Amino acid sequence: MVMLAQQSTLAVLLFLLVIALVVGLSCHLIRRSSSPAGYFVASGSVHWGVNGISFVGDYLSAASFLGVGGMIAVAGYDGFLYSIGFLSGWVVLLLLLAEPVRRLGHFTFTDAIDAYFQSRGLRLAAAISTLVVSIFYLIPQMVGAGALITPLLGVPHYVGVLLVGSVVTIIVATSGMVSTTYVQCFKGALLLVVSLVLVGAVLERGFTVDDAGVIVPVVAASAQPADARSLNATGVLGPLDFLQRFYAGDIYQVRADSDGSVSPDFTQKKSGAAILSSGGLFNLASGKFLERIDFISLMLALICGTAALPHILIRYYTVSSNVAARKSTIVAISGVGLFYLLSLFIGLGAMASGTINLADSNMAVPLLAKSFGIVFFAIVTAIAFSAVLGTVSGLIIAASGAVAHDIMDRVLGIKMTALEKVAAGRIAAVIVGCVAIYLGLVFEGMNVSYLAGWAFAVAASANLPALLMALFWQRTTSRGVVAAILSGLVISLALILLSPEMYLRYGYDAIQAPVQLNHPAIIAMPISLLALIVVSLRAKKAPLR
Amino acid sequence: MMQQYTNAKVDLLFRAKLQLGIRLLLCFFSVYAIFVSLHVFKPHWLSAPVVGVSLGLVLSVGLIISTVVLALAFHLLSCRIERTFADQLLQTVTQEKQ
Repeated sequence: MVMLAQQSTLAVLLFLLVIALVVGLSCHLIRRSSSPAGYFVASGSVHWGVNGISFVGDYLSAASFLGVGGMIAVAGYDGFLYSIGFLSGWVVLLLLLAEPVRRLGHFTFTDAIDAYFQSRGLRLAAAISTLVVSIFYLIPQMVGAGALITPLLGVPHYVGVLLVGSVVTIIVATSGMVSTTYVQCFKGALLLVVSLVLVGAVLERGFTVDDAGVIVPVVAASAQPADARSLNATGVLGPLDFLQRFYAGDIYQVRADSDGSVSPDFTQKKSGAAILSSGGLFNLASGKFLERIDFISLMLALICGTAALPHILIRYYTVSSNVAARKSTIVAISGVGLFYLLSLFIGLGAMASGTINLADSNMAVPLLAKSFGIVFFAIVTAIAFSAVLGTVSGLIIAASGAVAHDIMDRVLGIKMTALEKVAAGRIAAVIVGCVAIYLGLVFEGMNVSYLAGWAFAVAASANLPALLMALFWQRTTSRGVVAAILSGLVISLALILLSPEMYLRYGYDAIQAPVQLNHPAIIAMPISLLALIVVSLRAKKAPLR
Repeated sequence: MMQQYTNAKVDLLFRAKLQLGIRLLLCFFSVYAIFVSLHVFKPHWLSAPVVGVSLGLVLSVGLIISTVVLALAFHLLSCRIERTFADQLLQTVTQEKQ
C-alpha cells in the first residue's frame, strides 16, 4: 500500500533544487526584462521551437498533469474526455487565431481585441476579463500545489499554497516573461520525458491478477492480501495489450484504510469494459436532459476556452513572426496530444495499482510514481511542482499586463516611463499572487481539472465570441465587444456561483441550487454572442472599422 | 506604390490562409460535434468492443491523432500558399523592373 505522508530526503532535496533553479534563473535574467517589451513578452525574441515547448509547459498545468491522470484513475474513461476537449481547443487557436493575434497585438490579449477600435471602454472590459479568467485559472493551480506539497514535505495544504504562491511571485516579479518562458520550456520538456518514462514503467509492471484473473489494485504480486489469495503478475505489456487486458477483465475496487492508504476491496469488483466506457463522471446513459446539457456545455467550454485564455494568447507576442507563431502552435499541439495519450496509461496504471487517494483524486499520479520508488516520486513531484510554477507564472504575467499595460497605461492614461511600467507590472504580479494564494486555500480538495473546466467556461463565454467577432466580422463595434465581454463574464460567473457544485461548497444540498448546471458555457456563450450582434447592429454610427 | 502592393498581397495571403483555416476548422468541428453527440445520444454504442477496447476509447485516441495530423496538414498547406504568393510577388516585381 502506498502511504500518503511518507517524506523522503531526496524528494525534498529535488524540490528545493527546482525552487533554487527557477529563482536563480529569474534573478539571472532580470536585466533582460528592464523594458516593458522585455518584461511582458520577452522582446518577441523567443525561438518558435522554444515557444512551442513553452506552450506545452504553460498549458499542461496541474489541471492536466495531476487532474486528468487523477480523474482517469478515479472515474475511468470520462476523465479522458477532458483531455479530448483540452486538446481540441488548440485547433481553434491554430486555424483561426494564431496569426491574426500575433499580427495585431503587442503585449496583451486586449491589444488584439482592441486593434481595430482604440476604445478605452473596450480595453477596460477586456482587461477585467483577463484578470477574472487568469484568477479563475489560478485556483486549480494553487489547489494542485497544496495537494503536492502535503505528501512531499508533510506540511499542511496551506503551507504548500503559500510556498508556491511566494516562489511564483518572485519568478514573475523579477524577470517576467523572459524567465517564465525558460521555466515553462524546461518544465514542458521534462513533463513529456517523465510522462513517457512513467508510462514505460506502468507497461513494464503490467497487472497483478488473482486466480480468477481479476486485476488486484496492489503495486506488486508479492503483496499478500488479507485473505491470502495467491497473486500473479502479467509481466510486461504492450500499449494495446495493456488496454485490451484492462477492457476484457475485471478490477477490484479500493477502500480507504484508517492510515490514509487504500487497499483492495475483494467484495466489490467492476468490469474493465464499464471503466473504459462513459459513466464514471457523466450519467449520460440515464437520458436525463440536464445531464446531457451539462456534458455538452463542458465539451463546448473546453474546445472554445483554450483559444480564449489570455496567458496562452500572449505567448504569440514572444515570437518574431506569424510563421513562427504557427510553427510553435504545431509543436504545442504535438506535445499536448502526446501528453494526453500518455495520461490515459498513467491514469489506468494508477487505478490498476491502487495508487489512489480517495479523498483527493489529484494525488493519483504522484502516488503512482511513489509505487515505483522514492526516486521516481521525487522526480515526478518536482516536475509536477514545476508544472504549477510554469502555469502560474504565465497567468500572473497575463494578469499583471492587464493591470499595468491595459488599465493603468491605456485606460487611466497614467504617464509612466518604461521602468515605471515594469515596476507597475511587478507590483500587480505580487497582488495577483496574493489573491491566488487566498483562493487556493478556499478551494482545497476539489479536483483541479474540474476547477479548470470553470476557468475555460468563463474564458469561452467572455473572450472568445468577442475576440472572433472583433477580428472577423466587419460590422462589429467597440460597444458590441464590451457587451459581449461583460455579458459573458457576468452570466458565466453567476451560473457558476449558483451551480450545484458551489451549493455543496456553501454547505447546502446540490438539489437546492437554482441552476442545475455545473458548466455555464452553453448558456453564457450564445448570450455573449447575441449581445455583441444586437449591440453592434443597433449602433447608429458606422462602425469604426 | 510598391509598399501598397506588398501590403495588399499580404492581406490576400492572410485571407487565403484564413479561408483554409475556416474550411479545416469546419471539418474538425463536425467531427468533434459527432463525437460529443455520440456520447450524449448513443452512449451504449461507444461501449461496443472494437479491436479489444471500447469504441469510445478508439474514437478518442483517433481524435487526438487526427488533431496532430490536421495541424501538420494546415502548416504544409499554409507553406504552399505562402510559396505561391511569394512566387507571384517576385514575378510581378521582375515584370515591373523590365
